[in-house]
Amino acid sequence: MLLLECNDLSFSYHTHTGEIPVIKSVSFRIQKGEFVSIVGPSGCGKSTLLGLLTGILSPEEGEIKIHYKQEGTQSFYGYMLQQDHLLEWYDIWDNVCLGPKINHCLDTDCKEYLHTLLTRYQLDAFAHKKPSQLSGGMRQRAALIRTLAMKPELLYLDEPFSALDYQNRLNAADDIGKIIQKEGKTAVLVTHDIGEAISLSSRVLVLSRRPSTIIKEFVLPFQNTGLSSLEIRNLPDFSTYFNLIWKELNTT
Amino acid sequence: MSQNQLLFLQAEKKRKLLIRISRALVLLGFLIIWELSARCGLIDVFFYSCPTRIARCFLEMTKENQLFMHIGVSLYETILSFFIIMLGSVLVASLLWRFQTLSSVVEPVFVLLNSLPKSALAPLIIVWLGTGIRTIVIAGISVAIFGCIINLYTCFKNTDPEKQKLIRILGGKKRHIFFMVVLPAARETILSNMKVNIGLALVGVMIGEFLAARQGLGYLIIYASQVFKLDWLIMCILILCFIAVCLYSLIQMLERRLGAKA
Repeated sequence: MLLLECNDLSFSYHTHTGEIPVIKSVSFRIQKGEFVSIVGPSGCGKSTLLGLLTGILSPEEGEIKIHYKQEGTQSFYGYMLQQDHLLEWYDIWDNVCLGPKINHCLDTDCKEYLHTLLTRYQLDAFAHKKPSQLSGGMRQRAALIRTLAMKPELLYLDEPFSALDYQNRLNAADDIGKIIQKEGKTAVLVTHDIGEAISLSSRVLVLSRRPSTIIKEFVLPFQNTGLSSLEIRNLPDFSTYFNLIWKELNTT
Repeated sequence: MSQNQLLFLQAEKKRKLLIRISRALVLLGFLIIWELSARCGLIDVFFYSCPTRIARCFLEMTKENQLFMHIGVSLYETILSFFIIMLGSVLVASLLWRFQTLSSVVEPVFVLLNSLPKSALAPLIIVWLGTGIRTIVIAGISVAIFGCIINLYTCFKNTDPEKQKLIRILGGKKRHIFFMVVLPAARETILSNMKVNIGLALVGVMIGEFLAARQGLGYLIIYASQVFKLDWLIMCILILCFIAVCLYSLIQMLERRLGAKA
């Protein structure tokens, strides 16, 4: 089922020194239940593309069409930023409640849903702890629960593991991948880490250097194998796709 | 608790006690040297007074209830000025943060007013508003408010843009960003400004009382200097020191309480 469609998106930044074209004629479609990764070289405009998709920025050309929104969805999309940005002056419970509080929908059902998520992802014992008392991986899980609180149809993940060290990064990516799969969410991950993209996604879109456009699309066979992202990394096909995407990125 | 941890805590406790005793001894030593110098004729008591004369003067004035009235007036004016400085600064800085164009227009005005010597403004305020508490409180406010507004506005402006973005993504408006991110993130800056401003409010109130009061410690200091009652004058200065320390400690207590809650 088609969830979202982007047609010919273009965007430039305007500064006193001139115009910087960042996104040029980007078109793609997202189906419900997919995990799509967008990879590209650093500074190519991946976060800008997410800015356009979330409505924080407005495209100068092109359009974004939402085709499906399930009943009971409080917000069409949820957005996980590059860092967890948990607010240190609130405890974990208040942090995960931020979205519902802002949107005045923190009712009993919502609280129950959040308690379930915290329990399911081993954070219930930390609900009244400050973010600084949690490990990097736990903070990422809390940030994801904050994103899931509004029961979004589509999750945008903007390099959410980039601030973690390598070991925590692998574990957090594995955790987050499992959670998204378990909750049956559609996700768009933006990353420059090819391994992360392959191990988590069903499809990878490769962006060129600035002004970015989609130069290649890879459909991956791993998502429905029931393997974790860590296990996917050990499959022989993993390195085949890694090399193919690597080659694409280096020829742009 | 392990034996080593216990020893460490005991050593820490001992060190803190030693610092307290040393501080008390330094003060006591200063008072003794001052008293002895006066009694031995090394300093002229008419100009420099001595602790016993000041203590006698203090007791005499408290008997007449005059001194506490003056202290009360100065304290009231200082605390009132302080609250207006803090509330006014937070309010103005938040308006400047909310309306960026307005801030671009008025920021140079605040920078100018902040760099102006406030004692130069005091005579003008007296001409405009006459003498009395209102003039003195305005003098107290004028000393600190402009600097505080600039500090708080700079702090609000520099709040992590990613955290602001997070609230916007979650559907928040400017008011949510302000109350959920900008204001809590500025807590340390607000507290450090409170520490500075409680002292500055006292300075401003003294400037006002020097020029436009019939009561208060500033008035008493000016009166004492005019009639050469230097015991009074030095006593008032010591009381001011005591008040400044007490007010600062109150803010520190508040900081610790908030720190424990955070």
